[in-house]
Amino acid sequence: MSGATDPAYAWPLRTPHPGHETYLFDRIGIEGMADLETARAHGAYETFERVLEEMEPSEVTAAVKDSGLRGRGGAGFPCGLKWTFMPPLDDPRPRFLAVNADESEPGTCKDRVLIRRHPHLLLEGILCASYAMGITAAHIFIRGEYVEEARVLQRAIDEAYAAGWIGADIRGKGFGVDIHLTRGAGAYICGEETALMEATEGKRGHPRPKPPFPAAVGLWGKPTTVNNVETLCNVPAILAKGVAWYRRIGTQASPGNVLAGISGHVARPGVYEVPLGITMRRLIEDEAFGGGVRNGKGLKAFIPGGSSSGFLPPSELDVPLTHDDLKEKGTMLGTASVIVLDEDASIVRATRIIADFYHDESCGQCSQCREGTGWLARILARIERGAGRPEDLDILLEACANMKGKTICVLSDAAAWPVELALRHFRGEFEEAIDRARTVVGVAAGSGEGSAS
Amino acid sequence: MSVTLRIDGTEVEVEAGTSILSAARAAGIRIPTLCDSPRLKPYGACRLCMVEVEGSAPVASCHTPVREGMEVRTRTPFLRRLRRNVVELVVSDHPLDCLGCPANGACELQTVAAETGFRELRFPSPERGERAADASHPFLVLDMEKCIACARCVRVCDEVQGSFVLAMEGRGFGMRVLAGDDAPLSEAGCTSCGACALECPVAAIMDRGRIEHGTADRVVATTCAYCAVGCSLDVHVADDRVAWIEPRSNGSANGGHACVKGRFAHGFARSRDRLRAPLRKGGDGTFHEITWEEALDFAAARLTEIRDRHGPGAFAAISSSRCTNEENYLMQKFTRTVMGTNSIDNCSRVCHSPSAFALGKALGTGAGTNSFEDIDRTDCILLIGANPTEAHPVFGARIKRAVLAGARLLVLDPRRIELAKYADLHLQLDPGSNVAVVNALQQVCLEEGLYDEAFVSSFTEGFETYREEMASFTPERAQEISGVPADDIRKAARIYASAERASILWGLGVTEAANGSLTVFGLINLALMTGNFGKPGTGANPIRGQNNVQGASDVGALPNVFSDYRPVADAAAREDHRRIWGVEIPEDPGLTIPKMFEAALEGRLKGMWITAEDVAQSDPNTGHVVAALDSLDFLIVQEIFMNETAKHADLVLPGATFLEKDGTFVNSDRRIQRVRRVVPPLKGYLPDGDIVQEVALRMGADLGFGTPPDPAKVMEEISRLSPNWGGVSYERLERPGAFLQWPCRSPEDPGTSIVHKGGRFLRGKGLFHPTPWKGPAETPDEEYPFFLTTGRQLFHYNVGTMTRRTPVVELAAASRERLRIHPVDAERLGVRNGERVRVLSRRGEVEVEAEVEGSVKPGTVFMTFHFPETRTNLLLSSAADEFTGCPEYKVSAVRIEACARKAGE
Ligand SMILES: Cc1cc2nc3c(=O)[nH]c(=O)nc-3n(C[C@H](O)[C@H](O)[C@H](O)COP(=O)(O)O)c2cc1C
Ligand code: SF4
Ligand code: SF4
Ligand code: SF4
Ligand code: SF4
Ligand code: FES
Repeated sequence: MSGATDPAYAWPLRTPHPGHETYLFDRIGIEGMADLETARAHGAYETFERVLEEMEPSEVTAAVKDSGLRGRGGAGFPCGLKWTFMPPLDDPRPRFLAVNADESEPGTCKDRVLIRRHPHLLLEGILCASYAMGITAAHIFIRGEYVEEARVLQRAIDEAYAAGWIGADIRGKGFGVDIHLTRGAGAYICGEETALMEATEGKRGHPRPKPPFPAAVGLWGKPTTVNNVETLCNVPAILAKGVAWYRRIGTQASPGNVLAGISGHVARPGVYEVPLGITMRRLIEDEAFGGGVRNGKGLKAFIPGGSSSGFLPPSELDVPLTHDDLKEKGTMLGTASVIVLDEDASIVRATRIIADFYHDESCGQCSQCREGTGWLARILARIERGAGRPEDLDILLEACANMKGKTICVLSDAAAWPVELALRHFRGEFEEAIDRARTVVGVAAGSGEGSAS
Repeated sequence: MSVTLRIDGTEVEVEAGTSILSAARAAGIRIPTLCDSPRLKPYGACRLCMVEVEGSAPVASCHTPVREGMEVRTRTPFLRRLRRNVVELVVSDHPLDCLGCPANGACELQTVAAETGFRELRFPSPERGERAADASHPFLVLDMEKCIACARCVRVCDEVQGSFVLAMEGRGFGMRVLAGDDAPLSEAGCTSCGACALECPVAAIMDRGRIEHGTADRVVATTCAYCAVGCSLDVHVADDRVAWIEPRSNGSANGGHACVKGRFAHGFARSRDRLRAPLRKGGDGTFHEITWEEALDFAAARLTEIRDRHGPGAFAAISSSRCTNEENYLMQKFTRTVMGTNSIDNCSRVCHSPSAFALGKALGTGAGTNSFEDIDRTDCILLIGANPTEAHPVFGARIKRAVLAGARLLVLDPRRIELAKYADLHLQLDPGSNVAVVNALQQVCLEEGLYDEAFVSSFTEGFETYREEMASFTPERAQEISGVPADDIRKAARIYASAERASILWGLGVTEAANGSLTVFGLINLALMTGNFGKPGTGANPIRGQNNVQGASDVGALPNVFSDYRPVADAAAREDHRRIWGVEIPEDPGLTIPKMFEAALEGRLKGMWITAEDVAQSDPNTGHVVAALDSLDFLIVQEIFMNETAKHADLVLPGATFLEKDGTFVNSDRRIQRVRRVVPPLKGYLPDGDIVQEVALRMGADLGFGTPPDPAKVMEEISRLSPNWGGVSYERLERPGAFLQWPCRSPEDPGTSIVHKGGRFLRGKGLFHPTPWKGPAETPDEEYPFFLTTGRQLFHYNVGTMTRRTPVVELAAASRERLRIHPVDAERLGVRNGERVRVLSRRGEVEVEAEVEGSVKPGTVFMTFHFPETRTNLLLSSAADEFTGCPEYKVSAVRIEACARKAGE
């Protein structure tokens, strides 16, 4: 177990990991991997070159489909299947790949590591995907705060262009694609795939109503596939080592490794490449990963997959880290970003902070989300402040019910889930907070005008 | 392909791709909505329109397309709860002061609240911040406290008006609409079209007129009297006054849109300085009021005397393209039957006579060939000498929409007009060089074989000789003359010729030039050889200037033709008229406007009657016109305001505005539409038509339509004497928003949207005309080194008589005349932005403020003619089109001198 500490990060970067194979982080520890020369020395673009020579586009898509790779951007949609939604290759329209590097889900910072340490892996993934789908141009949209990452990535793009890995007629094989980089301006919603496209087009990042879906009407009205950075980084390994190899990692329904981020009250926060199916307990407690709750404290709750996946109690620690297992628990794998709360943490406060985040970030189009996120935040704030009312919990639950499944994008759902889960598993804490408030008010009122009921 | 589905148990069949919401509407089923608008793209934000679909989760009906066999429910207890919750959430972020709200009674939020049974607000908003309303705009008030974030205003500004002024800003409760870069609306580049206020479902953006009045007493449908787009308007009337005006949603020419003029510039009608009583000039040269009886008697006596003493040739009338068809018809009938002369003309002489002339010669009718709607279906627009986003804003917005939706655009104009920014190519030619560039465009098509041989051989004639004559006019030669790079001309020709359907549009920049007719011939040639006639999305169309310039000519206010352009020289036409009018009509054509002035100066013309045309202001070479007017024995001027021309009259008669009379107008694409009396004429007014009849009566004649004349009867006679209007009647035009596009030959004829269908030209075959190069009368020289070209701007109309009497002038962009000059020239002359300069031509000089900007090219300067005090027209050349006498307003040579700065400045 060796760890490198990157001064640019507040947390240590740990790689490689014992006991399992890594293919995303296996080379990030190498000094200078962001430079084309070093990257080439360690095999960058070799897979793509072989693909160009030996594979038909449809074979690439088939391999990705057979690998069972699921999107790592949050929704976990089967990647190969998504690619098949694009119109047939003889459709003369231009078509685009939108690469989602907006990474703004609280607790999530995995794509950042890939971009910073191994940008050519992402570019190679983009090239393979572009070849498979006949993409004319790929547009990477990167989170505005990722200043250094954008610089590194742009340099990698420039180097790859200069070396003929990007552009027209790559390696004389008759296939060409352009890669462009667009920087965001600090809105979480721009990570939603259709808002991402709006933002890439230079407009305000508002999700578009679906249908139509991106594969039919995407960037500039043309067929488009949206993929997350980590998703695309899986592709070269699948093509290099084969579907069978890939499917041996992870579980049947969730194959492959995932970049799991661990943050909050743990001894060893960081981003780890782990096989899907690993249990939460191992991820949080194993000395190789989270190393347990810090300062020897007890565990109050954990978030399994980014802020919208909500809080689970310690009794759920044995849940495996897969899409389906977490779904069964009423939550989701999301971005596999685990946040740990120790026994001293207040769930009321933590829930309110998350609600504030979604209220701030709601793009404001849909009535339920624009107003609903506001009301969740206000009511939770009132409970936290000690001004809660007994009926507040029911109002919260009804507001959540009204926010789910009815809006343009799932930010509204994502805002409701954590509140619902908190109330399901930790209702007592909320009731206590409200009771406390009522006692105080009761006393105050009682001292004045007699008893208040 | 059509799709069948069931909505609430009713079977509905609609086109594939239709939204569930539209399908429900088609079936008469209402689904509550807030963010949807039939004329905007689906947005899907309010989530009120959710419906249940069997076998899937609830969907928003406004953006979910129908599927075959779909089973939709729009009314269930679940949906009621859902919608009620949406209303509750929206209301939780909205003030509850309905009773005092200007939208009360017409608020969509109120409607959906009532519909969904909203009762209880569990989220009372304790923390509402007061946002101050933006009251900077003369016609609109923005009160963002009331905004419900539906973005309809933003979308209509983008999608319909194409101005991109508004944006949604902020998130959650803080969301609101921002104008420009967070500027007051009046300074945000807003064109004041008012579409945003019309879309707003609540009172967050509103017309001042609505805020001030509440609901109207009645709504009258009429047609805008400014430009020739001919927008259908709904005038909201309260207390017998115009309260506010909205575009009619079913208006055929405007599709629910309007511009600042039609929508807001109506205040002139109640302006204090309107002429209120007839005025007679006394011996001392001053006017004094007389009664209508006196005025009519006086007019009749003097006209009788002139006719009897000097003969019919001593009288001439200028009729008005601002007035109705019926009034124009009455005036020409009066001139021909009572005064016995064909000397009647209207101002189309000074704008589009070359269009009518060339179109008539080449194709068989002088009107445009296609309709506004064709712009939505074209692949390529060639726009020359027109600035529609300013002069014909509603049509301009439509062009912009077409271009944003993918049509290609070629702009030929000396100025970088707004549409040039959206164009594939802007050929910035020197003023006066249109023919050269248009010739080269043709030459490229001929040379490169980019023409439609099949069309040419089946439907046209004269091609071979034409082709030979044009062969030598290379783009290089055009470059020398016009300054446009030859390669750009080649590219433009290829873009035009390779388009499946291409449309040519031109404006006064083509026609108001000494080579106006030649340019129009050239444009027609271009369309002829590429087969761009007789089908949707094609054609050659002049964009007419004034509201009824087409109609005034159509109904015979021209010296050489009766209504429907039947020549007075044609014995059969004269016979038809004699039979109905009961008098012989002279076969010699009468005088055109320029000839009238000549005749007056030579003493041959003694009396004139001029209706609503400020010739002393708007005609080129004003000095010459004034001298002509002053040499008359008797001049009647009919006007709504005292103006330059009226000052020279012996008798001034106050006219009525379009808001006070009944009749019809014909717009630029041959659409005949009703004008309706919205408010009764104020005391002291006689509509223009009544005046003519009253004078006729006093001269012992009767125009035959009753006293006052009944416009419907006038239309009956027009229809009887004009084959192409044979099917036009008031009955067919009665329904609000109704229209008929002539040719409309019988009561069954639905009218003609596209003339020359299938290459069957009215003339028989389309005729090619070779167009030899002819330059403008004046080109810059050492003494007068600049081209001066003139035009219009959005906020004003003509000489500003009407617009300048409304709050439009409060908009900075509309407040005063400015000479646009290129920075390079300004630098050379030492002129700074905002400084006053003297502009001198061979004919006169004026002083004006300079605006240094890049829309003109070096060597060219630009002015409007909306500001009489600047007297732009003093400068203009008196040259004219060789075929039609249309004056060359667009090209003069001038010198610019900086006015002396005070020391230290
Ligand atoms: C509110 C919201 C924010 C999102 N943010 C991100 C993000 O930052 N990065 C990302 O890859 N996907 C994000 N997603 C998911 C994307 O919409 C999309 O599913 C994903 O980029 C698809 O790529 P994948 O299939 O490769 O995962 C977000 C979704 C929502 C609703
Ligand atoms: S759900 Fe929220 S974030 Fe998503 S589109 Fe609607 S308002 Fe915007
Ligand atoms: S008035 Fe017209 S141009 Fe101005 S903001 Fe409203 S829609 Fe846009
Ligand atoms: S101002 Fe009116 S139209 Fe615009 S977003 Fe607000 S409520 Fe909608
Ligand atoms: S001026 Fe022209 S564009 Fe404007 S409202 Fe009137 S007819 Fe329409
Ligand atoms: S009308 Fe469909 S969401 Fe507003």
